[in-house]
Formats: sequence, C-alpha cells, structure tokens
Amino acid sequence: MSPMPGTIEQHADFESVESVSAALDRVGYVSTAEISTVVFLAARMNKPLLVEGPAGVGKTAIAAALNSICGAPLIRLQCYEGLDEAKALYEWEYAKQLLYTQMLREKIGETISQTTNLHEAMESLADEEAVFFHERFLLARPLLAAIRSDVGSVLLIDEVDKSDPEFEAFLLELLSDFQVTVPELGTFHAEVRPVVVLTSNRARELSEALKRRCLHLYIDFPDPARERRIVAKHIPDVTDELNRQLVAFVNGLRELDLRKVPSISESVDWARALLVLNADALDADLVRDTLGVLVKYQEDADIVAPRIPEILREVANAG
Amino acid sequence: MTGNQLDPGGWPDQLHQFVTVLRGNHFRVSADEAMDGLRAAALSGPVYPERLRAALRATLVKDADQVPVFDRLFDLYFVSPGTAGARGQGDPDPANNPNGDQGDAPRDGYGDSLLDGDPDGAFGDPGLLNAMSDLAQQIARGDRGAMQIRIRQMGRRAGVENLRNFWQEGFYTYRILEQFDEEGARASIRNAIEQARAGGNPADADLLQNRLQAFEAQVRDYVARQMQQRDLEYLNRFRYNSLMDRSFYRASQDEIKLMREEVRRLAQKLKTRTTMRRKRARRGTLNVQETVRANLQTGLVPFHLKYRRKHRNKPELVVFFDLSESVRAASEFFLMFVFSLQDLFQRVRSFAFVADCVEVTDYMRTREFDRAFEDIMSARHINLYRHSDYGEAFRQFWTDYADAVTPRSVFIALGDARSNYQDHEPDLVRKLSSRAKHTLWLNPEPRGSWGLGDSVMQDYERSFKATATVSNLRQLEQVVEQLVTNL
Repeated sequence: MSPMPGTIEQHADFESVESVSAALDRVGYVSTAEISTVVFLAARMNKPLLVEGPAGVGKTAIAAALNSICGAPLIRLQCYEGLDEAKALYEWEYAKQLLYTQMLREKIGETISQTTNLHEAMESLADEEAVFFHERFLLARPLLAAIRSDVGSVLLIDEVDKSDPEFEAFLLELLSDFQVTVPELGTFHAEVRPVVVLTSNRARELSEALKRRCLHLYIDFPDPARERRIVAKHIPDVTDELNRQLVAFVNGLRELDLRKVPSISESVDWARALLVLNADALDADLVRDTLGVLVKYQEDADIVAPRIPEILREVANAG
Repeated sequence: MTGNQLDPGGWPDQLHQFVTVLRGNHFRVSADEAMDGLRAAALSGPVYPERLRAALRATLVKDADQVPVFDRLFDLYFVSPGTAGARGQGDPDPANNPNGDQGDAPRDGYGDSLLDGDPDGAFGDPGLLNAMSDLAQQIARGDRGAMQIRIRQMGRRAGVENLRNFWQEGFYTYRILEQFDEEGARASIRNAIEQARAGGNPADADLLQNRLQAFEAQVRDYVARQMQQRDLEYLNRFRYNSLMDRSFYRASQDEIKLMREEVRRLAQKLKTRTTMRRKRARRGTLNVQETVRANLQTGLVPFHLKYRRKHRNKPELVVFFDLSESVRAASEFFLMFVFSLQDLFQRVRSFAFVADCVEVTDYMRTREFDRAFEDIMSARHINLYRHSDYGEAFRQFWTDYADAVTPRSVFIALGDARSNYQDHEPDLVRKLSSRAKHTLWLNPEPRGSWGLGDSVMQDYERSFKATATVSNLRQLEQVVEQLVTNL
C-alpha cells in the first residue's frame, strides 16, 4: 500500500482497532491489544500519545511504526537537560541576517538616500522591516518543522523526562493548540496536525498539566510469547527452539537484581549474535562468550556469570 | 458469553460514576479527561472489556504506579466476579490476533435479552414464560448479563450511591428489589411458580424458584460490591493520614512496609524539588569572557548571554545514629531518607553505635537500602545486645573519627540519649559540636520525657544548635525538608 499523507483520522489504517493492529503488524511492530487500542484512540482523538516504560521496550519504535504506516515524515526531538526553545522550536540565523544586511548595504543606502532626515530614514527602513525578519532567516527546529510540514508529520519528542520543567511547560501550548508563535512573523498553525508521540523513562515525574493533554500508555517488558514474535520479526532466520531458549534466558536475567536488565533490543541483538556464531542451542560457554551483548555493566556481569548454568537448567526444564 | 455488564445505553452515567469512584481513590481525573474517557470508550467499541480497559486507562490514569489499583477498580466495576479471574486467558479480542485467525465473537450478553420466550428450552412448559413481562422473563431465563444492567439501572433509581456503611447494605438491597417489584417482576414469577406447581410441573417450578433466588443473590452481591468500592476509597484515605502520624514504635508489619514506600516517595519528591531550586539559585553574574566568545559569529552583538555559575559547596553530612533496640526504627527510617538523598550532599559519612561506634559509610554505597541496612545491622564490631552507652560511643568517635567533623560538616545525632547512668561525656560532646558548621539532635522521644530517668538529653541539648522529636513520618519529613532546603 502506498503511503498517503493526510490527516491521520481519515487514514484507512486507523479506521478501527483491528486495522491499526493489522497495520502495525504489517510494518513489523508486534503489538498488543492495549497498544493497538491506545494508538487507535490517539489517532482518532488527535491527541498526543505519552508512552512510558523501562528503556528498550519499544517506545520509540511506536513512532517509527506510525511513520511507516502513514507515510508522513518522522521528526524527532531528543530531549536533554538544558534543552531550550532555540534548540527545539526555531532560531534566527543571525550570521545570515548580518551577511545579507552587509551585502545589501548599497540598496539600503539607496532606499534611505531619498530621505531628508533621520526620522524619515527610520520610517522608510521600517517599511522594509519584513526583509530582515523573513522566513528565509528562520532556522526551523523540530517543533516548528513539525507544525509547518504541509503533509503532516509524526513528531517524536523522545525522553521528555530528561528536559527541564520549564521546557515541559513550554510544550503545553504546542500540544493543546498545535500552534507556535514567532513574535516577528506571527503565529504558525499546523495545516495538518502532526501525530505526536512523547516518550519517558520516568527519570522524573512529568507535570499533571502535560499528562492531562496526552493519552497515556505504559509499556512493560513483553511476555515471552510476544517477545519471541518480536525476535522472529527482526531476525527471521532464528530457529523456533533457539528463539524460545534465548527469550527464556533473557527473562531469567530480568528476575535478577541487575543495574540494567536486558531489554527487547538486547534480546534481538543477542539473537543476531547467536546467528552469526551459527549457534542452534544455548550452552554455558556460548552464553559466557556473548554475555556482553546482554549485560552492559561489569558488576552485572559478575552477578550473572555464576548463575548461568542454573538459568540454563530452568530454560531447559521449561522446554 | 453472559456476565458482561457493559450497558451501552447508560454510558455517560456509568462512566461518570466510575470516574467518581476513581477520584475517591486518589486518582486525579479532570473534567477534560473524563470527557476523553467517554469519547475513547465510545470509539474503542465498548463490547470488548479489554479494549475498554485500555481506553479508560489511557485517558484516565496517567501514573503507571496507579495501574494496579485502577485494574482492581475496573474489575470491581465493569467485570462481573465470574469473568474477573479469567482475564487474559480467553481474550476474545481479535486485535490480539493480527495474523488473521478470527477470535471469538464479542461478548454481547445484552443481545440475549432481545430474544423472546425460552430459547434454551430449559423449561418443560415454554408457554410459562410468555405471560411474563420482559423483566420477569430475563430473571426466569437466568440471564445474568441482562440482569446486571437492569440492577444497575434500578440501583441508580434507588440511590445506591448514597450507601455509606455496611449496615445499610440490607436496606439498599431491599430498595432495589422494591424497584423491580414496581414493575411486577417478582410477583409474576411467583405466580408462574404457583401455576407450574398447580399444573403438575414441579421441575419448572423448582427451576423458577432457583432463578428467583439467584436473582435476589445477584442484587445483594451488587450492593455488596458497591460497598467494597467505597470501602477501598475510605480505607486508603484513612490509611494514608494515619500512616503519616503513626509512631514508628507502634506500627504493624504492614504499616512499616507502607511507611517504607512512603519514605521512598517523599524522598524522591524532596530530591526533585531541591535540585530544581539549587539549579535556579546557581545562576550568577554575567561572564563577559564567555559571552564574547559565544557572540563572535554575530560580530560581538550579544545575542547569547553567558552567566557565571555560583559555586556552592554542598554540605557534608555526618550521621551518628543509635542502633539499639529502643531507637532502631527511627534510625532506620531516617537513614532511609539519608540514603535516598545522598546525592544532595557533598559527602555523607555514617556512624552506627550501641556502645561501640563503627563507621558504616561504605555500606550506604550499595544500590538498595534494604541491603545496606541489613549489612549495617550485621556489621561486626557492633554488639547489638549491649546496653547503649553514649559516653563510650562519643569517646570512640572522638579517638577514631574526630577528623570527620569539620567546619563544613553538618553533624546529626539520632538517639534517645538514655545512657543507662554511665558517664555521658558532656564536655566531649560540646567540643565535638563546636567544630561542626551545624549540629542537630533527633530524638524519638517526646520533648516532655527528655531529661527524665537516665535521659541526658538536657546536657546534649545545650551543645546542639537544633533538636527535634522524630517518632513518625510527618515529623521526619519536616526535619529532612528543613535540612535539605536550608543548607
């Protein structure tokens, strides 16, 4: 199906929960009834979608999947401490403005040569003010780009919990009215409302006001069946048995008290690694050699290493 | 499948009631969100309970921690007791099978009620039901799904939302049945029973009798569940308030567990607030050098201003706490705060004592408080079974760790200052506290008993700049808040 830009509410794939579910499946996102329902609602109610959950459970992937489904460009804003409007919304290109003024000096001279006094010169320059603050000097950052895109867009505001509370407050205007005001130029309205996905790792609690404007979706680690489907989707060559074993093993690791438990992306990476090594079943040596893919801290590796045989035994028993 | 209680006609009403229940359980649901919930429920197709759950959760519950409570209330409110446990097993939602295999039909329990007569053929004499009103027929057929909707309607009429106490359950059950009686439901079934008996059809009569009883039980059950919802709300509110004021020494195991969660939450709140405030306070005067550098590309027209950051020394904390039986609970909770707030201080050094004093700073560097405290409790060199001896503890601290207290440190002692009539070294303590920038003594005993019996608090009080009683969470929170905001 060819992507067709346009308002997402009218998009054929967002007609019902079932069609959302099928569309997500088509673009390679293994969904659940809850995820499909909430994505469907976000599209139909035209509300921003706030996705929370541990790192690596596919929060960002939702935005990517929406982008593949509706064909609108994906615009991403990565949040961090100290992110401000200039980096998120727009900036004037001062250097370019200065350069233009320099080069147009003669023309400016002509414009004001007719005038007789300072006041008149000011007035005639003021008539040309639009030249100095023209859209061509406007450097659109992600938020403005999303609003101005006339084919709509999927706007991903990633890890919004990392931004400062001030920035969060600033997002409110954007999320409720989908408009942005540039004092020198006026207000930009979104011709086609962007589909907004915000993600958060809950590094801090987001404000009530922000949450009120969004639909909220909490994604946790998937159950083994769904995780197997995800792995199979990404690495089609992996055998069912190896897939079962590796997912069961990763689930075993999640039970341990680790600083960073392996997420879905780690399962997928591991499957890829095992495939490269031509493995068709797990054994203790293999796990030990590839542990670095799953566990990213030395202290975690120290906890896991002695337990490998024990977890493998559980994996074998479950099979 | 019967047992579905979703009433398509009474939506706005039903959701409004559910929102009221949520609000009563500490969910903050704004009017906007309630409207969203209604729209979402209508859009998602309310025939699938799991979709309705997802729709309401996405619109009404914005805090992942509240999801378990929401699920419980949702089950109580929308899912009948029989189906509540079966969640996730026989999920009929076709959205779960994107690969094309068709799921079961949607649960449309209320579809049955459109049928007339006795479709199941359960009665020997099908004509028995035809004489009854629709309402009575539903009861006679044992259509629990349809009945639940009617009970809900009648419940609204009977004003069941005013139910406050469990002893009113009987009254409201009666009121609801009365509403049914106004439409002659029970009377016409009783008539049918007599008719069946007289007609020599005892099997039908027994069946009808059973169905009637089942119906009455369902009404009672409905009222009881209304009470449960309200109870949950009342209990939680009561529990929270009393938890904050509950003495550490009189709390039950359950309460202690809840308190620990609360401390974690309070500490997190304090931390966010304090870091924000400190960041704001750190902006200093204009930094000309940096500003010039940042504005080179605009020909030194200062578009970007750079400020100097005020250098602020985070305070150093020295915590000196009593681990003896009588004070342990207070020590543990205070330590929990300190543990969670370690980042706010330049350095935290902790010393535990009963009589012997040992540094336990290293234990506090693990990731989990429970483990840290366990380690501290099992630390060698502390004999937990000795009588506490403040003099001995201070002497040892002075000889071994006196360098820990500097003019930059805040020295906090936590203990009941009951020295079992031993020498309590008031001069040494004065010397020690005069070295620190600030000193604070936290005592779990109320001020009134300071200095009574073997308490030497009045001597220590003289050497300490501040003292406070901490025997419950509220007091502890106040103390810690003052500590992190004023330093």
